[in-house]
Amino acid sequence: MAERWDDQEFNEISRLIREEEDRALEIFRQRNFDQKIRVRIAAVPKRKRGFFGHGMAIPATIAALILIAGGTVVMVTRRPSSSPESGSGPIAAILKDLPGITDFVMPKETIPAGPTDAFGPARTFRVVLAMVKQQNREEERNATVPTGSLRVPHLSLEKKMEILFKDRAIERVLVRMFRKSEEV
Amino acid sequence: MPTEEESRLFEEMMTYKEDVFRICLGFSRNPSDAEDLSQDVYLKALQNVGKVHTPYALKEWLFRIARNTCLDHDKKRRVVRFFEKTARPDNVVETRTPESSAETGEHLNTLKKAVSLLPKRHREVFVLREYGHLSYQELARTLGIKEGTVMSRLNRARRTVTDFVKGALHG
Repeated sequence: MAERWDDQEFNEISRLIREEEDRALEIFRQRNFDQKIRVRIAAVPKRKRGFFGHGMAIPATIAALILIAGGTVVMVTRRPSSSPESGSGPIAAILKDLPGITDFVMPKETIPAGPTDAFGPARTFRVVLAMVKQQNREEERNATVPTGSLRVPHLSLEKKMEILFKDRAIERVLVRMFRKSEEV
Repeated sequence: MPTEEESRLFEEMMTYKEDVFRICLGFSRNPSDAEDLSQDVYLKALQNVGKVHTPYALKEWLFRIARNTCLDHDKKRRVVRFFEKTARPDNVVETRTPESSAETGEHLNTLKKAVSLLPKRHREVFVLREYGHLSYQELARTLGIKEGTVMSRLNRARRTVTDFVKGALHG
C-alpha cells in the first residue's frame, strides 16, 4: 500500500512556511520597501512605453514590420502617374548607353500593354523581354532564308557571346605576341 | 510622468506589496532575493500599467508579473548554478534566516529544496497558494487554468513536498 498522506501531515509543512514568512516579513517591513521602490523608479531615466503610448502598446519591431508591410502594399497598389514610363525611364536610359544594347531598341508598338503596365520594374522587364524576342524572331527569319545550298546555322545569344569572348581573347593574345615580337 | 490613473493604480498595487514579497520568497531562496525580485515586479508593473484594461483584475495581473519574474530569475539562477556546481557540489540551498535554530534551519532547507524540485506547473501553484495565500479562484485566473486543475496540481505538489520532507528528516 502507498504511503498514507493527508492534510494533517501537511500541517507541519504549513507551520514551517508560516514561520519562514513571518521572519522574512519582519525584515521586509523594517527595510522601507516603499522608499526603495520610489528611488528605483526615479532612477529609471525614461519609462519604457509601447509604440503608440500606453493605450496601444506595440513593440517597436512589430511597428516596423507593419510600416514595411504598409509601404509594400502602397507600392503595389499605387496607380501610375501621368507618364507611364517614369519608373522604367532611367533603367532604359542606362540600357541604351550600354554597348550593343542600342541594336535591340525596338518600336514601341511591339511592347505588350496590359492592365499591369503601370509597374515600373515589370515594364522594364517586359521591354527587355520583348527586345530579346524580337531579336530571336529576326535571327530565325534570317536563319530560315535559304542561301543557295548553304544554310546559315541558327545561333543562340549565349553561343554568340561565347564566340565573341573567344574571339576577343584570341585577339588579345595575338596583339601581345605581336608586340613582343616587335620588342625582340 | 505617470498619469493620474496610473498613479492611482500603482498606489493600489502597492497595497499588495507583502503578498508579492511572499510569492517572491516562495520562489526564491532567501528574503534578500525576494525583496530585489519584488522591486523588479513593481518596476515592470509600473512600466506596463497602461496595459491594465480591467482594474478589478489588478491583483491577478500583478501576481502574474511576480510569478513570471520569479520564474525568469529561477532560469537564470539555474544557469549560474550549473557553472558553480564544481565549487558547490553539495548543492546546498541557502536560507540566510538569522536567529533561526539549527533544527528549523535544517527543516527550512529541506522544505526549500523540496519546493525547488517540484515541476514548474506544480511549483507555481504551490507557491502562489502557500506563500501568496491566493484562493482557488484567484489562482485559476492568475494562471489561466481551471479551478479543478488548480486543486489537482496543488494536491500533487503538497503530497510531493510532504513526502520529500518526511523522507529527508525521518528517513
